[in-house]
Amino acid sequence: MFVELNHLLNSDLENLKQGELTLICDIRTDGSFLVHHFLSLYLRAGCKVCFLALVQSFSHYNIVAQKLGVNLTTAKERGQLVFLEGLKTSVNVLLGDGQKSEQKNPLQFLSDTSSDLKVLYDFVRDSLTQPSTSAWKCPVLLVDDVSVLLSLGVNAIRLLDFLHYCRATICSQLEGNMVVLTNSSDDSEDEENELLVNYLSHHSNLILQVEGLATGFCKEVHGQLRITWKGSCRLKGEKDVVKDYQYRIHDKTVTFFARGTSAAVL
Amino acid sequence: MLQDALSGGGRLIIIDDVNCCGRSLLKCSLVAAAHEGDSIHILNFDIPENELRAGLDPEVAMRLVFHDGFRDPLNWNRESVLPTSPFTPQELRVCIGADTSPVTLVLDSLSWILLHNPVPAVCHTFQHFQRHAKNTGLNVKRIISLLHGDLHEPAVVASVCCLASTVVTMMPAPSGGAQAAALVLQRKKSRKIVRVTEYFTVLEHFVLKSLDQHQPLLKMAGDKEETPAAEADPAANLTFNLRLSEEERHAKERLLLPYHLSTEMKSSLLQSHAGAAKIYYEPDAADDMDEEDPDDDLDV
Repeated sequence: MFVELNHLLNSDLENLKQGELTLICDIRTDGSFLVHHFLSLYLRAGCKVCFLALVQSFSHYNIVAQKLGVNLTTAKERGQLVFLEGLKTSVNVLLGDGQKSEQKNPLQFLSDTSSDLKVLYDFVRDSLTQPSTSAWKCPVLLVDDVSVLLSLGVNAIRLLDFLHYCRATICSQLEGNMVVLTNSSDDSEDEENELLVNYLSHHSNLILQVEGLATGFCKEVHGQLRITWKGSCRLKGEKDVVKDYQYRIHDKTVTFFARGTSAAVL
Repeated sequence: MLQDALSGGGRLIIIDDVNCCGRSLLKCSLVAAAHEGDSIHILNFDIPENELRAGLDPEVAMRLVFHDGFRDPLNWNRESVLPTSPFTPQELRVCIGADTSPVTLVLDSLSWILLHNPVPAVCHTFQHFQRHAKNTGLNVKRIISLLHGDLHEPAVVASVCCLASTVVTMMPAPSGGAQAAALVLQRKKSRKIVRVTEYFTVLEHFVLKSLDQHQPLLKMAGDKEETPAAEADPAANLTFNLRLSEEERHAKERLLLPYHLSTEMKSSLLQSHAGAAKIYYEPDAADDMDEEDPDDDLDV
């Protein structure tokens, strides 16, 4: 959890906003530090978290989370965190071994391109629907990163259906939050990915766009973060609010500063 | 103009994109329809009912009838309200049911329908639904749909727009008071086409406030006279002058440039004046004298 980012986003541990979809969109850089931020933020806040980790292994996320002061293994044991390790689960599906009959594999749709993502949705819903006795706060779904599913051959419309259902169940029905990371690039000529990014941008309440510097690698400034609060149309028409910052990633924190005001320049 | 477009009959499409959301304008059109006494049937796929109801006048909200397509559109949870498969006039008619007052049908959004149904089928339903409803005793006064333009290929958007009587395209407004700009294209029954760009802002309870509008000159197809005027003149707004007037030309020609040596100037430079300083030089024994005139190559 990066305190500075919490200040920028006006969020704090005590009163989290609910029912929001946050889109993290990285362009020519790695935006995973934001995923780590949200993971540790929601675990610390006592939310029930379902994490679809499709990019890295559990130990990777665990090591980073430990640096940020959260232990994923304990969270898993306490039942606060449901972790789907995409790297292992997808291999099990594609190589076809393991127990078929006992439990449905949440990534089963990978082996059959004509099927929808209902299995994955059921997995998410079942892991986030809590008995009324549980002490966890609002449910949270984290996805890192959803573009990977497109690369694995999932049909874009089916993926949008899955995201729609997650939105309807988690954000609207259960009043929880969703954080989704996608990859994007202006000149990728990948229509399916563009459709995905546009769809998510239409429906998200907050967009965090992480972009590498156009001038190339720099030791002092690692990239640029554009925060867009989508104008809500709940009470009346509102304009989007956009703010730009530059950031530098340190060992355990990230510093944000206005554009052109890094320590190396001033 | 925008207000008229929103409250007019026929088929209205509001096209928005990521940078400029059109839902507030959709809500304005709901308010306009409700004030005319229509009952408003909404097929909501994009956002839940409570979000669409939020901020509306209770009087307007009373007139809304929701057909929920948001919570379970594909019947994954077995709670589906709307039929999932093809979007046909018959199914749409069954969905609305009986209603004696004039009906405004709202599709929020048409994008969902277009992504899940074949485009020709959607176009067919969109065009023929009003007539089909009339045959079965339902007065559908207008169909209002929201379309996210950047989720479809341009050709799909264009073909759907061909069937609409009014197309409102949302654009972000330049900084200032306006919330957004709308490009309104209206096809009148007389086959006249009106195109207006209008800046607007949305007040509380979704009342539209129009700020400024301008009507671009219509460019006729094949009209060649307009082409040269439309081309930008590169020499239009220069900070300097490219051409000379007669007077300026004379002044320019009269000017004596510093490197031109006229005869008077040459003589005045070479003539030594009385009282001017002179240099006497006595060569030293060890001096290395050069017999040559150092100014030999000067043409004076």
